[in-house]
Amino acid sequence: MSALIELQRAAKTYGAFTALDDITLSLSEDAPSMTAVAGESGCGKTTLARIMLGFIDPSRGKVLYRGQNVATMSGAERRQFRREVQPVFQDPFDVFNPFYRIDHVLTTPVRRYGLAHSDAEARKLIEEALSRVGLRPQDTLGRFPHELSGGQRQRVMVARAVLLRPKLIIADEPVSMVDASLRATILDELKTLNRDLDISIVYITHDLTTAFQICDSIVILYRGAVAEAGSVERVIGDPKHPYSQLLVSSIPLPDLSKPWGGEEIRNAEPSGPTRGAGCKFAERCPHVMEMCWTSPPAEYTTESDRLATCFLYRDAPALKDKNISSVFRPPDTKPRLASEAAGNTNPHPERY
Amino acid sequence: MSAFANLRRGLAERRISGTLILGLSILLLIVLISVIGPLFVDAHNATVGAVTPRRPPSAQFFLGTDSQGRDMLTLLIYGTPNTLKMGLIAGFIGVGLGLVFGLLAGNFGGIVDAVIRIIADALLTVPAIAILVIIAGNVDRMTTNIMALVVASLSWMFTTRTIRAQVLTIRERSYVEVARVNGEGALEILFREIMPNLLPFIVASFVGTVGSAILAVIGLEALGLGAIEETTLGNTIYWSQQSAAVLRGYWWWWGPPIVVIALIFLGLFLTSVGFDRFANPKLSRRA
Amino acid sequence: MIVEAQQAATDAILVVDNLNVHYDTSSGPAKAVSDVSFSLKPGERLGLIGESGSGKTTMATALMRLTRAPGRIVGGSVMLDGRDILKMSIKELRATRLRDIALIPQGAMSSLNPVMRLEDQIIDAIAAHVQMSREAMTARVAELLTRVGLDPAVARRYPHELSGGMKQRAAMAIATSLSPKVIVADEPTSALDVVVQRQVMQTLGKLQGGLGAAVVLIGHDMGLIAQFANTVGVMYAGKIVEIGPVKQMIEAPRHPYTKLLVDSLPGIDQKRALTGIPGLPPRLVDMPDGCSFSPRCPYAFDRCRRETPLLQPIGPEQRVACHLYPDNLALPPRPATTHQEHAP
Repeated sequence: MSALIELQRAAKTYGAFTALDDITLSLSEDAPSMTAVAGESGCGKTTLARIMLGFIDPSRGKVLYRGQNVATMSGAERRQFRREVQPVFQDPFDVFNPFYRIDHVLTTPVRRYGLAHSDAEARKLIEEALSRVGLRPQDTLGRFPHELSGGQRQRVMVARAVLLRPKLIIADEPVSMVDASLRATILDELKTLNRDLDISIVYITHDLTTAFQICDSIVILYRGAVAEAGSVERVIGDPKHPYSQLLVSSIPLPDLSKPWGGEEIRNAEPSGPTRGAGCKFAERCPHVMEMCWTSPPAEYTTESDRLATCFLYRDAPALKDKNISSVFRPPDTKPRLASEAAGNTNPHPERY
Repeated sequence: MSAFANLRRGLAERRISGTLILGLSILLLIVLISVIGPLFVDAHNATVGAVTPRRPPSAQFFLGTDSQGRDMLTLLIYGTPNTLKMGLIAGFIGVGLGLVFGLLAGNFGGIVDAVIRIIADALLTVPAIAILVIIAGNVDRMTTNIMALVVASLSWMFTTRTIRAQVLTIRERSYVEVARVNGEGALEILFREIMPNLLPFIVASFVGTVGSAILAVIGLEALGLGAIEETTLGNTIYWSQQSAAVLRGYWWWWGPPIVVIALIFLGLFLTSVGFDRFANPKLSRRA
Repeated sequence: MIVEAQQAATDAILVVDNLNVHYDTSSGPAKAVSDVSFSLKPGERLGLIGESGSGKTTMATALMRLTRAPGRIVGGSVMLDGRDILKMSIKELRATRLRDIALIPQGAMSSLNPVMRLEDQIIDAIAAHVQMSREAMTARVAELLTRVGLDPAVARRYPHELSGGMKQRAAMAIATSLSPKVIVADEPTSALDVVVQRQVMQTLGKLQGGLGAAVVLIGHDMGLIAQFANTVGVMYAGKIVEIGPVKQMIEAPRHPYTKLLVDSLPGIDQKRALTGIPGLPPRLVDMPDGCSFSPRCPYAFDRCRRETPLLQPIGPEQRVACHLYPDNLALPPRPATTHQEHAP
């Protein structure tokens, strides 16, 4: 397996504050995957995204893109990296320069990366990208950002990323500022891009339900450290780390057979900077033990497709090379749902 | 929502207020007088000894004459454009410099920013008039162009700070990051992404700079440090002071220049306020 | 009419009848809230779901007569315990706000004054309505904070020293300081993490239980609302299109929009294709005749485009505004889509 992007013990600190603790992972180039990075605000997921995008350099450790260290890349190599690793940002309002029509954000990369040799070719590429994300070029091009809805703007941004035919898209909370009814559509489009265009996607989110629906693997971060990682089915279906369990049980499902639970949540938020060298979750953990305060737990692989950094599982083998990707599961090889393949537009035949 | 998107919609949504229209009208009127006025008067009447001195306003001399035998109306018509010219030169240079320094400081940060900021801040605290007096006093043959340059040299600082602050803010916007991943280089980002969003601030700074430049120029002229040989509004006031026109009741000598100066400032001020409402719709929609 | 019947029959604490709020725009009035009617009994929890442009926040502010220009309340009544808020004198209105009906606004955390200590802000709110000695005030403040699960010592802190969840709960403490009969919460957890969100909602539930107050919870998260409310109303383009007991709404929705909304929610049981709702909500200015949802509705037929459906009862406690009823008992199978899937 050749790695598309690799983080080797990458960490980021700002003075005394650790935004991201040593993390080692790699995403395969051969099998484009969809990986979720989940956690609450302040957990380090955005820092991780920015490190992967090359916007910030890690304080420790290395980031390798296709085998090359991003920090020491030459100009040309860096340009290629820039092109092949593209972001989709959270805020669909701020990503457009209000001075220009939305075309600007699509014509600029075509020009700067030399994607077309003539205006006509450029226009064709842009229209194709827009259609791919479900937008009608004639209704979208020529408009100013404020003339489009939040959902449309976000789709233009996805089209922009697609235009460049990147190898990796880092989507940082791409739908949290979009209406519920449009979220599903946009996420489905991301999944289609992954399948049809072989683009790996890292989906940064705080919403575990969408992560479950579209991703193969998930990493749950807590205050800069990995709490749990593995296949989405395993981690979300049967969370082992106390923090993951807390997260999953706090999801408000529109399913009345799964009530939220009436138990009092104490310590819903971390109460201050982490004290001591132990597990970061110790102060809030209902299963905390003596050893949790003194040293951080290792990554215990409880199953072949999951690890939890919690002393509760210290009997399980610890990850030797600390590469959390070893518990990631390979992407879905199943075709799309049979009902869709048959052309039936009703996704829930069993509901009636 | 940004200022510029609003600029384009301002006309449609009638955010051009009465204030803005009035301000621009006043300025337009003054410019018109400067441009068309000379067609109606004989330039010769503004030279010393051309006409009967000390005459109050009459049918022959609409604004009277001064004690040196110059027709006031002619003086006004030739003096106003000179004063305006100085203000505009100082305005363009001042804002031009301010823009360049502001962009450099805001965009590059580090030592460049530190140097520019320290110099700008230091000069801001110095009373400009004092510096100008020293400079003006040491120039041999003062002309209106030199005056303009002298004033311009000290009118860039505020624009620099304004532009710098805006650049720092805009740099953090997501669309700048998007520009980066779209392959734009640092300079391209500066000129294609950041600059266009600075236009409202540039216009506002320009109006302000022209205003304060005219004020500075008139101040210097009233002290006798201006281009004495040229016809300007400030010089007219200077001569009127020299001839004790106030004591002697020659109100038509010092009055009209002051009225024109006041009108220029009124026009600039109203334009500035009106433009603010134009560029920032939140102000115009007071509940 | 339904509302009058309810008014007569029950001890409803809040009865909203035909509320209409318009926004004045340069192209004419935008009907942000059209003919909205519902009623609440004490202790009842009503959840109003709507996406952006549905009018839910406009309605929340209208309930307290806090609508500001260019918004205008153009008709209807909001009867709180028999008195119409929309017709009260300013003096009476001021006395009623906070004491009888309280609003927890969107972004309540940023509605806290950053330069005042928490206790001063709470005292400020109370003192505007009630005369109390300083000691009594301080004691009340401690009591209020404890009630929302905060340590009374937090009273001496400034807002920036509190976390998001704590600020939200502080805002809730202020809003409920005079034990109002009705609490209107407009997206109270929008910027909060999921664990904190649960805690804040539990606090709201406890508060409400303790006060016996009625709650109107406004939001866009169907899961959140389903877990909290007993009655759920769905708003679209300024109107309530369906309202009923939460179980019915989630398990057997009648209105196509409700059904599509529920379907678009991913669960964590199994993976399935994600479905959204194609199209965009309508502009609220110059709305065409007929059902406002018809352009996007997979069930739309001719009558839908001509005639606006009215809310009609379809069960003991359920109402729906859709031409499919009362001819059908439940939502029929979805027809094969004839028009575009992809939206502009």
